[in-house]
Amino acid sequence: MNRAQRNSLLSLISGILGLILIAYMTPAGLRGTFSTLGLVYSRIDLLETSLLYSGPIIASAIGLALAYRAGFITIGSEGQVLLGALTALWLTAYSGLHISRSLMLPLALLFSGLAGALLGLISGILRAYWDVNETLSSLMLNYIVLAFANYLIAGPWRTGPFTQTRSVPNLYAINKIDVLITVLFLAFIYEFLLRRTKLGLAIEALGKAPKAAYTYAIPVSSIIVYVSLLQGLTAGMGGALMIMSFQRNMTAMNQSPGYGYMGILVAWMALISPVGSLIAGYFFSTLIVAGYLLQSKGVPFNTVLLLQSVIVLTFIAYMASRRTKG
Amino acid sequence: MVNVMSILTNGLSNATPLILAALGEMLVERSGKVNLGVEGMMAVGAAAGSLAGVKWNSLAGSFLVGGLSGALLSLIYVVAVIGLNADQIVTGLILVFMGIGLSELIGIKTGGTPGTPLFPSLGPFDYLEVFSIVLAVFLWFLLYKTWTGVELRAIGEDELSALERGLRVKTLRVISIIVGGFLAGVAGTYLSDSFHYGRWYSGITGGMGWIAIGDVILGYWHPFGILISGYFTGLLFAMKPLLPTIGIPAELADALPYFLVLVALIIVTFIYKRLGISPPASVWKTIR
Amino acid sequence: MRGLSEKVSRRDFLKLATASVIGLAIGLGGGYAWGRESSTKTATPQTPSKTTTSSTTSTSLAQRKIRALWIYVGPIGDYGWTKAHDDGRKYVQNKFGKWLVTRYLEKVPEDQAYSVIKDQLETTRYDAVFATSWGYMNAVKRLAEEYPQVFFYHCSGPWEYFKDEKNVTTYFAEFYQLYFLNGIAGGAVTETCKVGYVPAFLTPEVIRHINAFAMGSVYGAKLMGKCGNGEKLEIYVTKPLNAWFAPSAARNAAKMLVDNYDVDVIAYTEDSTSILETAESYWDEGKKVYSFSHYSNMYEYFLKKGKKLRSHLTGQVANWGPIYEYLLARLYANDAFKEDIWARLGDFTPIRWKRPISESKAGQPEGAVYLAPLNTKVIPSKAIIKIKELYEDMRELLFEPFTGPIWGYRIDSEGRPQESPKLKVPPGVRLGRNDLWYINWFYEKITSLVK
Repeated sequence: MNRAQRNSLLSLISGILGLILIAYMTPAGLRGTFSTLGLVYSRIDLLETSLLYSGPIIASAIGLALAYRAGFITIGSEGQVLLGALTALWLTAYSGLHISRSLMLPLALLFSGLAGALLGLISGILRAYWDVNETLSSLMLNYIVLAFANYLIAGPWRTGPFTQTRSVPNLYAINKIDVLITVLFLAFIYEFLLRRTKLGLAIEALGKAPKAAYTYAIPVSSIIVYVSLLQGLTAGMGGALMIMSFQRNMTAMNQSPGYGYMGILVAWMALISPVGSLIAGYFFSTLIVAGYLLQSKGVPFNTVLLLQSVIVLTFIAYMASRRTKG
Repeated sequence: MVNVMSILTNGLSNATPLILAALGEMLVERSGKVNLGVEGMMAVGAAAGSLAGVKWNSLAGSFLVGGLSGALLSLIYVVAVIGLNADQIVTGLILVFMGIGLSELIGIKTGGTPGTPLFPSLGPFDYLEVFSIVLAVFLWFLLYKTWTGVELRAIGEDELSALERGLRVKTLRVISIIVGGFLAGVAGTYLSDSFHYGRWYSGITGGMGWIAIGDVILGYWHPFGILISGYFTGLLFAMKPLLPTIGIPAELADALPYFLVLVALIIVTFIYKRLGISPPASVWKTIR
Repeated sequence: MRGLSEKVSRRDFLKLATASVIGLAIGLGGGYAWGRESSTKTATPQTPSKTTTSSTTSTSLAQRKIRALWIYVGPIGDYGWTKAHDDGRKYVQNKFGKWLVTRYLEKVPEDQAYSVIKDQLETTRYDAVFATSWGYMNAVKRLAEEYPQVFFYHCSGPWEYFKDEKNVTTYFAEFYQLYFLNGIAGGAVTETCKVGYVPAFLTPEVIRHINAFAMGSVYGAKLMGKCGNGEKLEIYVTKPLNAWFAPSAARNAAKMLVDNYDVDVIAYTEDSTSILETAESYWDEGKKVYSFSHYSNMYEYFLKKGKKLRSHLTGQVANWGPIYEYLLARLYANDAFKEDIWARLGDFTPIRWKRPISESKAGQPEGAVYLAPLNTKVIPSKAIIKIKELYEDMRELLFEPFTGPIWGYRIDSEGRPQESPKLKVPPGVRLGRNDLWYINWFYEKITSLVK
């Protein structure tokens, strides 16, 4: 057994031990945690609910996969989901637009996607032309969007004395089928983009060998800009999926909802592949449902985040250690 | 009706966790790595520190445990990034989520009970406010006046030639990361012990860790620079409740520190490119 | 990681994926079986009854088990609002342990309440759901239509909102009378003639409480003949925190009131002990600042932790126990019906008659809402006597704080004045239920700190 094999085995084992330890630490205990997880996987209706939560997560992971392949390490998906959700909420509940249900979803997706893309574009342009680090700039933008959302919720969009917005009307509410179709569509489009187009080729080249890409006259700056647009697009659409399916309205937030952040974890878990994000994203959203159920056993909801991050870290450590040379 | 004196002192108290965490992160970045997990380590520090305070009723114990828990979390970063060569940005991000999740599991054990409150006892200042200033001076001395400091900076500037010259790259890096984790943990404990009577509650960090990372850039990777940038952001927090009285929505004021960091980031990048005033070069390669 | 994808061969990935799927399947299957086994052992016999709570009598009372779920907006560790509800839950759990199973969910965000509660109702049978925050209104309304066999109890919502749902009861413990008494204590002790209030939201409930506190403090200052007989008393209300549980923002608001506005008595609506702690921390700096208990008896709580609060004047405390006891007993007896409970002083007490001042229980537990211990060291005895007298009068509704003439001005959701002060309550008139439930104006002496 060489060093790489030993290390990768060790990281797998320690990850699994970590998961067991966490489950043991929760107030539900090992037994309670695992039986709840089992419950989620044995109930059709819960598996269907998971589909709803997976919408924003998968959608943001799809775009992030593309960006990460190009070496554009943005974490702006969180803010983009939120901004997309705000846009869709405005369109459905505040714009006074009365159109049919079948028209509203594409329209909301379009507008939310554009909002997300514009937000992504800020980090993209800053990176492409001014060389500003995209991880930090996108992160700051997340918090700026959060503050902006809170401003809308507490100010202009408030209904009544309580900081609460109007709800997406029942007419425009979407179901799990809508969510499923949207994310499938997005995933395959992006997979196609990555594998079968010139842009995809350039993205791969840029991510793998930035210097060579520069030498071979690949227009690095404009590709970064395209990537940032495409990345924000899906995350923004994820926001529409979130607000139109399970969220419906917004109240003042201390922290952002977190689906965009989960998208980051999912993108890495899926080996930065759009289609892979479908599976990884769905898996993570079943964990969300389990998290809601575990709350009745006194387990704080953020434990889900802990479990997810341990899984991804284990995975990344495993992959990294396989690469270490003998 | 503005009491300038109280805003100035409140500013320092708000700045203390930022300065502590930022100084720790500065060490890490000076050694050539970026640990984005500050927010997570602060969260764990706040929860573990509060729990220790509740259990043992000792202020020193509370801060020690808070710091150690932050250091422990940073060990994960050490193993993954230094040991297994995993990507540092991704690992740092994961550390944030991990820390937030873990802090809840630890925090619920305190049940929101007040632990060991930290009060101003050196005139209008408390021990950690003074400590954060002393620490900045000490780190300045360490970085610029000692051989270890020269070594540390050399590692951060050019890893390969540092290796060639036989400098202790790995050792110093690991130590910096762990010290960075410890300081972030202490900063987290300060949040519960000084601001909330030693009590922990969910979401107590509220983005402070990210602002600390921003303060490192604002302060241009220099201890005194961080002291200034940290105090400046602290002042912003202290003035926040007053803003509605002059007609600025408090929700928008929430965005101000982040907006300023973003602008500073752009300016710093500009300065670096045009004037060539250099932040640690390896860090610049990663975060550019 | 940039090179991650190409370095990992497809075979590696498949291997890992298969291994993890198998591992997961084994773990989940095992865990599920294990959990099942345990649940059959320990859990209560699951009568697969389709008993609808309101109609059927098919199961005999002896076998009948009621399962009730509490939804909390904050953590039970807040030692305020949520803690008070959880104490109420424990109270009925102890009392009705033979036939009652209680569960709770804490920190359920208001905008996620629908999904969270629905997941619970899908997986477990519940007969009653207690939703303990104003913001759960939409969720409860939607769920009540989807689950007609479950009885929903919404705390603090107006009953009109649920008038079409037969299975929703609304309940609330009302504090405006107690806030008036708090105000008397505050007005009697203030040395700077400046008092403040930190609201969570400006809902009608909170506006009621702010007005009652403000009128009480003027009454108290007048009683002691200070602050120009109450004329010169200044009352500041900060910007709403826009969250029920926001310890950090509450602390900052309280500090602002003390540091910049020289306030030395702070009342508040926020679900934690944060403001009381902030007031107490000023004593360590040699400054006298007072505050109150809110929903739970915080004085006693800190005393248990070995800390004797100097800043605690008195406060408003709710005991939800008797309310839950009444509601669940009705449900158990198959006699639950839609109702609206608005508990004030004297409600849920065995005897309602007013007592002489020497026998007054002001400052001691009784009924659903009562006054926290009175700080007799600080509050002058003249004020204490008055507080006790009014407390007893209010138990029989002989005294009502909202009795005209009261001047006030209409405000917006952040507290900005929308008009110049007008006569809101004509002389001799007492405000009734609807006027109190939909109140949207501040008492004229209040200064809002929002521009």
